[in-house]
Amino acid sequence: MTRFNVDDIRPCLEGVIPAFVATCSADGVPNMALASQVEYIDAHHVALSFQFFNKTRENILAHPYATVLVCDNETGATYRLSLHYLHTETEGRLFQRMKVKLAGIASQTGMSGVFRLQGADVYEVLAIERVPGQMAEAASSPRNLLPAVRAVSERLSEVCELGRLFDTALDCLHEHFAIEHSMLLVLDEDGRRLYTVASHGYAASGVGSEIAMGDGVIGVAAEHATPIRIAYMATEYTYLRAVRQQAVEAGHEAQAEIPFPGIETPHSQLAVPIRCGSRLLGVLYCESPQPRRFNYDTEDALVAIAHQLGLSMRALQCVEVQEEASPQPLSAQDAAQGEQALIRFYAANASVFIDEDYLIKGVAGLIFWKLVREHAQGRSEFTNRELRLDPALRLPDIDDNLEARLILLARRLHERSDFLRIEKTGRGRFRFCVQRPLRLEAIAG
Amino acid sequence: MSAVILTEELVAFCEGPVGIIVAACDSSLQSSVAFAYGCRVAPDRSRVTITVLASQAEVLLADIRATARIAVNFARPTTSRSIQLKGHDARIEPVRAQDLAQVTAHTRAFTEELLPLREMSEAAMAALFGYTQEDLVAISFSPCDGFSQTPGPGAGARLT
Repeated sequence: MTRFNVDDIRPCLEGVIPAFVATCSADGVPNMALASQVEYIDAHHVALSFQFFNKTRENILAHPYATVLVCDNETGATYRLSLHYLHTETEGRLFQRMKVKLAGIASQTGMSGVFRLQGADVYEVLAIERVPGQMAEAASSPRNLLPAVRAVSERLSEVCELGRLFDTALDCLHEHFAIEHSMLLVLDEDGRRLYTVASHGYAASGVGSEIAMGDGVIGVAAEHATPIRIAYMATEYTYLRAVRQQAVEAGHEAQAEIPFPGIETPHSQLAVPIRCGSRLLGVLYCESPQPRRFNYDTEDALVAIAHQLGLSMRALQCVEVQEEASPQPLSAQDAAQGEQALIRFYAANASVFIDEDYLIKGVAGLIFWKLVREHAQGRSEFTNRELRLDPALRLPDIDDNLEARLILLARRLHERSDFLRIEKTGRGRFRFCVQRPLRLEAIAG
Repeated sequence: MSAVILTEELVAFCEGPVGIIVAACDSSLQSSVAFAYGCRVAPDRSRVTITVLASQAEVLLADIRATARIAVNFARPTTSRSIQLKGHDARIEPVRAQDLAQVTAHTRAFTEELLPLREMSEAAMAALFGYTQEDLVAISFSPCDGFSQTPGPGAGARLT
């Protein structure tokens, strides 16, 4: 008889069909109940959603064994799991993953507001048995994703510049995983917000748009450093709504916001943390208007890719820091021509407007303000090192994210202005090009 | 415990397009579980007969022979309404003509119930609900207890 482990039956654990849980009371009375969700932990462990205190719960606390039926919605194959209850988690990564996924299942089954995860009941899987019966051929045969992971890994290893690394990663997701909509967000210096540095598949790039820690699947993935995947749209995890709500709460400051590029109805969402060691660097995010677009295998593949991204991001930043040249002497500038543009800088939040258009705020706003002021003194060549040493930019001593901020600023300028741009001139150095006369105006905060 | 007499409305629910899952357990409190393929309630509503596949329910049938105890959940996917009936006088019976008719009608109705949800393809449902007549076994019991299991504040309430 074939011996199965949980890896073999992951399609049954996507939350499409509930699991059927049989338990027995201490006095020998059987009980049958449904569990909305069985979450994969590893080849020998699963977690069941604990939503209500019921007979199942009473039974497993008294006698920690259950027998569970799960079904593969693609093939109709059914498996019987013998489980041994170990413990319940009410916080942490597993709990957060299940909480978000359950919100999607609740919304799909009309149970929003009724389903609420109280705990993740962790079970050891003692045995898995295939229930005799027919099995249909899956409509979409499971694709081996290893060649795609390998191809992406090779492409990423060839990239030598941070901005290109971001774009290559998202291009690869499209090319090798047919993921149409994706974004890469980087954690800001104080670890409270994530800002978009690259996106793929949106009408407006949304570069510079921000997500707070804990907000939606991206914010939860970042806050708990765990992949978050949702197969059905749940309004509480939909970004356009969350971002609009923030805009309303922010009131007048809403004008200094870059719209989040997300799709209107993201039925499937997958957010994978990008880490280097224990440090969170950002989040890789994919979404789709199609339900159940991403499965456990997609998640595995993207987690592997995100780990490589994290190492590459860190390595490329280190290279840039090491190879930075000393400050360049004053250099000749191209003559600025045409109508004068007004650059306004609001010191309160370091936001910058070009004429009436919002450009950027925060650290990138401070960098921009430094560049335009020094440019007025006749400079156009800059080094990352001098920015890093400038106390006015308030960069932390270590792990300053400067390269990611410069990429963000360069991309915003590219999108919002046809007369201002940042050109990389070598590792750790760049040119600030200004083709119209500027008038600078600082508004004290 | 006194017997639960199902209302006509509950009979219609149990015999309708619902998923039917059966649990039992052995003397060492190890539980067993199997899908059922149909349900028929006696005209006087005192006894419920469900039909399982012997090949799928080997342990469950042994447990019922040994303990006569049974728990059956009926759940309608489109409404999430769910109830559980329990019995302690369950016995295994040969399948009768009306059980066969019920299984045919039930698998058709349940397939139609599931189709619009687009959770499973028709091929997957055909596999899941596929059976041979020789494999069918009936289990009958008098419900001695019943509970609502519809998710929400009323879950766990006794059927009155």
